[in-house]
Formats: sequence, structure tokens, C-alpha cells
Amino acid sequence: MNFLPFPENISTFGVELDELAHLITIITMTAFVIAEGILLYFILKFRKKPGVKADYIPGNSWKQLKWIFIPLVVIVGLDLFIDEKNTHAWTLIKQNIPEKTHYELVEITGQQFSWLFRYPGRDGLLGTSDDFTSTNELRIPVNETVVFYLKAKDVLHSFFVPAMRFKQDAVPGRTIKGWFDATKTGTYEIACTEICGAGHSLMKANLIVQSKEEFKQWFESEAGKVTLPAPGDKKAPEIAPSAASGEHNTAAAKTEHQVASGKDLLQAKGCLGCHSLDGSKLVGPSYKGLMGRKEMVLTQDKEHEVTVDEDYLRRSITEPNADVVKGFSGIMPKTPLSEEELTAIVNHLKDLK
Amino acid sequence: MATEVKQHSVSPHNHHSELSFWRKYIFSTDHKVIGMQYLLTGLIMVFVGGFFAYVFRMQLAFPGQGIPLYGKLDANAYNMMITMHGTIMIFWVAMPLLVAAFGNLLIPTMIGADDMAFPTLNMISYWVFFISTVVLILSMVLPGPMAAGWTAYPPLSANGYPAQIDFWGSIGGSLWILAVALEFVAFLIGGINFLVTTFNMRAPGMKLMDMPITVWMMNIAVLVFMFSVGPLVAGAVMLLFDRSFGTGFYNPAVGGDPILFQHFFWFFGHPEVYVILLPGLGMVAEVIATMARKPLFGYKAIIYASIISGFLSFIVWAHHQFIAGIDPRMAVFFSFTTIMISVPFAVWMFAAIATLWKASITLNTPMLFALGFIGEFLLGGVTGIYLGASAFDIYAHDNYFVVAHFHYALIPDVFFGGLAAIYFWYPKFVGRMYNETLGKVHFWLTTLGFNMIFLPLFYNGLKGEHRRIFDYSAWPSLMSADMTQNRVIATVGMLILCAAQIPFVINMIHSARKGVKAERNPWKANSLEWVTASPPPHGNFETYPSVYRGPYEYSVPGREEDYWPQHLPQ
Amino acid sequence: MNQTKSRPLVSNPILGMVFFLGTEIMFFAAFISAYLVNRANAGFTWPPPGQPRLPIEATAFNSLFLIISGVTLIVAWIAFKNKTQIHKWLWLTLGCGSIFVLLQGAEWVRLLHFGLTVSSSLYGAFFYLIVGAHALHAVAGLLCLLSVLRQFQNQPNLLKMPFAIQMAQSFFPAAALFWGFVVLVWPIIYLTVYL
Repeated sequence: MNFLPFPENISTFGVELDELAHLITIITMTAFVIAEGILLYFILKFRKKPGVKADYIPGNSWKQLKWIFIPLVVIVGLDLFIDEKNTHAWTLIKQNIPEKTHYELVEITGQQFSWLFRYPGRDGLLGTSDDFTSTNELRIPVNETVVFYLKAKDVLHSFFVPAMRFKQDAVPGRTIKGWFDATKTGTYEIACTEICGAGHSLMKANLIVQSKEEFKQWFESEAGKVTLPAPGDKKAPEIAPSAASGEHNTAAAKTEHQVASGKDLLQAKGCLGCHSLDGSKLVGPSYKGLMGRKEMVLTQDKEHEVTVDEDYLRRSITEPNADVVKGFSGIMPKTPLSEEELTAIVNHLKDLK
Repeated sequence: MATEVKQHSVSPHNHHSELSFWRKYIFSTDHKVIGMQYLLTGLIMVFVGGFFAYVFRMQLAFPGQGIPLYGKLDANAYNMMITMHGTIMIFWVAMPLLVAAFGNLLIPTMIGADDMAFPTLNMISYWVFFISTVVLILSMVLPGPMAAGWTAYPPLSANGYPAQIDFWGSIGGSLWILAVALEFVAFLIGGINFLVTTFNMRAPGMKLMDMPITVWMMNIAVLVFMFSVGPLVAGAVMLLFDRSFGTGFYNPAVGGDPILFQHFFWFFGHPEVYVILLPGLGMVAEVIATMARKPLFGYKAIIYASIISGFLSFIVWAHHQFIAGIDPRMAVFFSFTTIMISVPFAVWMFAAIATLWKASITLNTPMLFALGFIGEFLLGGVTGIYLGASAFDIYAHDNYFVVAHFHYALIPDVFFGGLAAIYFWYPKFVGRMYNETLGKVHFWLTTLGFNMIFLPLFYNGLKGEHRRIFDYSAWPSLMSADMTQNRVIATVGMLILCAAQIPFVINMIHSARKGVKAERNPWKANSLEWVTASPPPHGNFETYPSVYRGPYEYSVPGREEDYWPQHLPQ
Repeated sequence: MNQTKSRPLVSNPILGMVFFLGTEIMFFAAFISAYLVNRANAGFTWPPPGQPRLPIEATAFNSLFLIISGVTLIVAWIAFKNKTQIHKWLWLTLGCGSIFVLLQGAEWVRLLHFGLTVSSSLYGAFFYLIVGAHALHAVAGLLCLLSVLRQFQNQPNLLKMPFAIQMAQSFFPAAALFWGFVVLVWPIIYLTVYL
């Protein structure tokens, strides 16, 4: 039974959810149609007619009230039935993680205005120095239970994947566990469904479900790109998934006297969520060939031309909406950065061709 | 019970010296003037809130284009508008219209009293409300208006807890919190008046079970309001402190919890919707019984059901937070209570429909709006079952399905119910008959426009359209032809709904000046307000009535007339 | 005021104040429950290290004044009912209540000096929030008692009128209820916040 206009379902538990929705529809819509039908029938049939007086039926005896209470009992019964089915579906999705021998782990962080997906790297543990992060792209293998740890960096966000019939708010200061299991490959939308500021409408990510082999290939290639601390360096502290920290990447795992590279920071801080490296226009201007470029910007609503130099780069990070490039919205959030991190980023941006 | 005191046959109010214009119409302590003040303020604010809806619906249907009478909309302004639309419609339209205006107009007149128990306090309540309105408008124009939705969840509503608090740069949002708090104070004062007046100033012979259902509903609503508002005031003060003094009650970085605010908000927020709903239901019941010439079916059952719903309303709040990060086991409890709270309202719906059985129905404007309420609210009610099921809510939270659901509950209540009340009591409190043809045109166009907006949104919601989105162009799955078309249809419906109010405004203004003078009891109704002159003078009654029966003795067998006013001895 | 009604069971001002106090109770209940949940979640790090401890003994002493003002209020109420000398007791209530507020204010100044502020920790934030809310209500209550005294001054024959008229027209019953609330909610705050 599938007459509701839901998008395609590719989730194992989505089947039960869709069934619940259809069940509720049949029950409530039947009740609705009957009630409306009776209402309209009464309105038409009992219109004022000359010489015909209304009946005196105050509804204060059981004989009269039974006409309300018997349908009510039926409704309560149907309500309890719906509630029972709902409890089953809810417990399945939100309270229990299915028993499996292997899970794919991902740490998901929502931030203004992108999604960061951190994978556990070759050691299979989240929070170690071999983790790698993907911005705005969640790749998972098909037919595998994915367990994720949902966090938020700054304000409330909400992780919604319509095709997986899954939604969970991301709350700063908490790590919330969830799971799903995709049954089909393909690319699907991920949305933020908790208003998080001016860029809320643009906070889109992609769920890419791949075959197990493709996923393994991608995983290996990404894991290989991670630069581990050299032997002899202080070992990175283990960051348990329940920590309230806001750092989600290899930058945090570095030792104190080593700042992450500008390249890693662009990924870690979520810059790449809105600014591309390859010239494509995303939420913000592309980083490609940034240095020395001439841009038309609006400063306090006055248009003028600037040539991108180091000062401009610094100001566009510390005061993001002071000069807004024409054709883009002034929605870039202020990213808290230390002086070393800022310098590392600016130096990296300077060199991007 | 205390002894009866001899009735005065002459109104004690004819000894007032003539009051100045200011004391008579502006700073009046007369409940009828105060009621009108609330009514007018509410009606003005509906146009402000409606204008915002116009702007953002135009944006949603025709993204990126300039909007006539506004210009180009950006994401920040959009977020501010959806926030203000919700805030205004609930706190500056629904509450003042349904609770304050009609509570003030109807409670003393329906129970045979000369005024409220505390007339001066009543006047203060309106002026506090007026100040709250001014503060709200200021909050929109000063820097940093609240743009986190009418729900104002922190950390976003606390500006993300910046290292440096920019007090003046974000004064708008702080004033928004202040405006809502002031509005609560106004309604608290008003509410005390309703309760004390109803308890202590009823006409001799009027037992509680002889009161019109409207008086019952107003009082239950006020009780629910008074018990639920404390926690939100507490939560709002804490939010204000977070924004202004760096307290961090909701800041996880210092040990606070954002979800705490959500609990405070919804602990009030959910009972609040029943505070708005019950008076609307009550007034519509008056209209239906009167225009059907039949007793309100199951009057006592409805009262008990409403009291139960008042209690239940306090234990459903977390259905707004199913996926917010609360313990999933809590959600099971709240799912159950939410699905169950449909039961008392089913009683209401069935009773209203049963009142029509073997009735003699006059389909005039108030009756059309009253029946429209019932017909449309049914859809709002059943879609609430969907959302009460927490598993379905996983998909539907923050989705247009929710938007359509609550508009199908709120608009029938506030719009249709409020308009039914306005048309029904217009002759009484304005003293002239409104124009029936214009009224019917208003009804049909409003019905058309309203349904055109929200029916398509159910569909779009099921397809996955999430809410509070400024521009859907970034979302390919939501840009299909049927969905974009639905957004356009909804916007056209909104334009029709706006246009539909023109005959209403014309009717209200023109009829007040040139309408046929109304008699005391044009609808041949039973309750006490119809005993007074139209409009009632200061003090309401020339002779204070006593009551001999309930208010729904219509079409009593054996009587010549098909109505039997409460105050007639035989 | 309409005088055709039979005499109500509970006079208008008292009934009104009872409903208002219902709201106030929920308001304080919200603050206190938020505080308790926060404290429970903080576990062993409460009070947080580095924050000054609250003056439990000094506040207990201050609270005596508030309790005494509650006792004098009860005596004033009895005087009101029996139409005996009420002014003395009202002034005593006002005086003791004022001493409580002033002494608490002095404690606050000391705490601020020692570094407990609204932004120094959630401990400080909740303290000033809850105790501050109570202080505001205490000040409001004192002002109400002052207005009662002023009313008795302006309408000296009010105290000689029949009890029913007194109950309906005097500010005292409502003000007494409110001050009673201020006094009674304080031990609850003391037990939950201070101890």
C-alpha cells in the first residue's frame, strides 16, 4: 500500500514508518470523511423550513449521549491501536540499535552552515589521529548498519535524510547516537531541519550510498591521505565521542606546538562547505585563484572594487560580512580561530591557484 | 450559601457625572470599551502579521524576485518575518481577539454583571498590552530582531553565545522577549478578572451549570494559561539574562542546556494552544445552538471533556520535542498522551454535529463561519494524530505537514471562530446590523483562500518539504513541477485570503455608521447579554436579571416561542 | 460596584490573589526545578571549585527576620478580624521584612566582592536569578503593605465596617496573602539553593 506522496524510501525501518503513515491515513481519513459527510448532510437536511420546528434534544441522558460515546469508544480503540503500532516503530528506530557484528561509524557535526562527516580511519576508532573528515558528503555502504554520533558545533541543527526516513536534532554539548541501514545505492539529499541562522536554507549535504566495494575503495583512499603525527611525537589524546569539544578533525589531534595545516583547517572548520576549491560557485565565492583577483564587493551597501590581498583575506574571515562579494548573501558566520590558525589559513589561501 | 440581598431596580451607574472623552473612550474602566480596544488592536495586528505572510509567501512562490509593496527579501529578513508572523498571530491576534476581547465583552454581560470585578485593573491590563505591542514593533525595527522562529530556541536566540555580548546591536531580540513577557502580564491581570468575576458576580439563580458554554471556556482557558505561563516567563528571563548578562543557562560550554529552554517553552506553549482553542469553541457553540434553534447537545459532557482536556494539555508538551534529543522513552509516554488528547475534542466535534440533528438551521454569516470552523478544524484535528505518533514525527517534524496541520487548527479557531463571534455579537456591541451579503462573500472567499493555501502544503510536506527555508532552489528534490506549482497555488490562495478581507473591513466600518439599527435580541437568543440594549450602556442592565434556567432552552416542546430566555420567570 | 449579588463565599480580592499566587508558584517551581536538574547533572562538581560558598549561617539569621514578619502578619490578621489595633503589627511586619531585604542585600554585596557573579558560573547565575526573583517579590510585597497602611490612614472608618465590607474593600487581605507567599516560599528556596 503506497499512495502517500513520500519520496523514495531506501531505509530498512522506513518500510515500517511508511506503513504506519498509511495506516494512520486510512483510519483518520475514514473518520474524517464520515464526520464531514454527516456534518454536511445535517446542514443540508435540517435547514430551516417554514412550519417545521427543531426537536428538543439536550443530550443530557445516556439514551441521547450514547450517540457520542459509542463513536468515542471506537475512536479510543483506534487511537490505542495507532499508538501501539507507533511505539513499535519508534522503539525500533530510536531506542534500539540492531545487533550486528559490524557497524560503519560516522561522527556527524552540524555547524553554521555545513555538515562535517568524520570517519574513524583505519584503526576503526573515532577520535583518533587517523580520522578523516568529509564536508557535506556522507558516503555509506549499502546494506550495512551505519551508527552515527550526532553533534552540533554552534547552535541547534537537525540532521534529516528524507530517503532514510530519519531525523534527529543536533544539540551543542551533546552527542546523540542514531543508526540507519540503506537498501539501495544512489545519491540523496540531507537537510538541516532546525533554523540555524541566515544560511539554514543552504545547509545541504549529500548522502551517497555506494556498493560495499566502492565504499571500501573510497575509504582506503581517504584514510591514506591523512598525515599522521611522526613517530616520537606526543601521541594524540583519545577524544571520546561523548566529549563536548567543538573540534572534530585531525587539527585537534595535533600536539600543542603544532598547528594544523591551512589545508586541514579549511576542511575542519567547514569552510569547504560553502567555498569550493575548483572554481564552482557554491554558497560563497570559490577559493580558486583567489589571491590577486578583482572582486566587486558591497561595503555597507556601497559597491566598489577590491583586489584580493592578505588584508582582505584576514578581514573576510574576522569580519565576514563587512565586504560581501556581489552576487552572494552576507551570511558567513564568524568562525572562532586562534591567531596561528588564521595565519595558517590565510597563507594557504594565498597560494591557491 | 450566603443570603440573598434585595435587588436594586435602578442601575447604580446613572449617578456618574459625565466623563471626559479620555476617561470614556481611551482610559476607560468599562469592560466593553476595553474589550473593543483589544479587538481593534488585534484586528490591526492581524494585518501586520498577515503582511509578513504575504511577503514570505511571495518569496516562496517566486523566489528571488522583487515583491510588490516590499522589494527584495534576503535570508535574514525572511527569518525575522517568519518569527514575527508566528509571534504576532498567536500573541497579538489570537489571544487578544478570542480571549481578551470577547472575554471582556461577554463575561459580565452573559452572567448579568455590571462590569468586571476589578475594573481599574482591567484597564491597566489593556494598557500593559498596548505597551507590549509598541515594544514588539520597536523590536522589529531596532538592530538584531529576533529571527530564530517564534519558538526562539537558544543557542541561536542567544546569538550563539558570542565571546563578547553586543547588547545594543542585538537589542531587537531582547525587546522581543520583553514584549512577550509584558503581554503575559497583561493577560495574567485580565485572567484574574475573568475568574473572580465569574465566581463571584453571577446573577442570582445562575448556577455554574447554567452559564453559557463561552463563560466556561473562557475560565478554563484562563486557568490553563495562568498555570502554564510561569515556566515560560522563567525561561524567557533566563534567555534574556543569557543574551544580556552572560549567564549561560542554555550554554552547553558552561554547563547549561539548550533543551531546558525547549521544555520551558513548550510546557507553556502546548497548553497555550488550548487557551486559544477553548474560547473559540465556546463561542462557535453559542452561534450553532442559536442558529440551529436547538439546545447545545451534551452541554455537561462538553464541560467535563474541556476540563479534562485542560489537565491533559499539561502532559503532552514534549511532542514538540520528539526528536530534539530527549530520552526516547519519554517520547513513548508523550505519544500516548498526545494521541489521547484528541478524545475530548472528538467529544466537542460530535456534540457540535449532534446539535444539528433535527435542527432548524439558519445559514447566515455567523453560522457559516461557525460551521466552517467545525468542518475545517476536523482536518486539523485528525492530522494531529499523525504528528502525535512519534515515529511519523521523525519524518514530519519541521516540515510543511506540521505547518499545514497547525494552520488547519488555528485558522478555523481564530479566523473562522473569531469572525463567527464578531458577526454574531456585532449587533449587540455596535448597535447596528452588519450587511449579510458582504458577510457571505467574506465567508466564501475566506474559505476558498484558506484551503487553497494549506491543502497543497500537506502534499508538499509529505514529499519532504522542510520549513523555515527561504529559497528552495538549492534543493533539487523539492523543485519538481508539482511542488513548485503547489507553492504558487498556496501563494495565490494567500492573495485571495487577503482580498477576502476587503468586504469584511468595508462591512465593519460601513455598517457601524449606516447599518440598520439593531434590536436587543435580533437572533432571539437565550443568554443574558441579549437582554441589554444594543449597544449596552455603562453598567449594562437597566434592571439586573435573575436566572431561572440554562441558556440552551431552544424549541422547548409546548412553548409558543422557540426560545426561552434565561431571565424570564415563565 | 453592583450590590445585587448574594454575598460570595470568597471575597474578590482574596480570590484574585489566590489565582495570581498559583501563577507565581509555577514561576518559582520552574526556576527551582531547573536549578535542581542542573545541580544533579553537574554531579560532584557542585558547587563549582573556585566559586565562593554561600553564607548559610548568615542567611539563616536573616531568615529569622522574615519568619518574624510572617508571625506579626498573622497577628495583624487576627487584629483585622477582631477590629483591634492593627497598625502596630503592620509596621512590625513591614520593618522585619525590610530588615530581611537589607541584610540580604548586604550579603549580596559581599558575594559579589568575593567573585560570585551572574556570569562567573551557572551556580552564581542561578543564585542571583532565584534569590533575586524572591527579592523583587519581597520588595513588591513591602510596597503592598505600605499601600495597606496608607489606605487605613486615608479611610480610618474602614476598620470599623462590617467584616464583609472590609474583606471586599480593604487591600489588606490580598496584600497579606502575597506577603504570606513571600515568607513561605523562602524556606523552600533556602533549602534547595543554599543547602
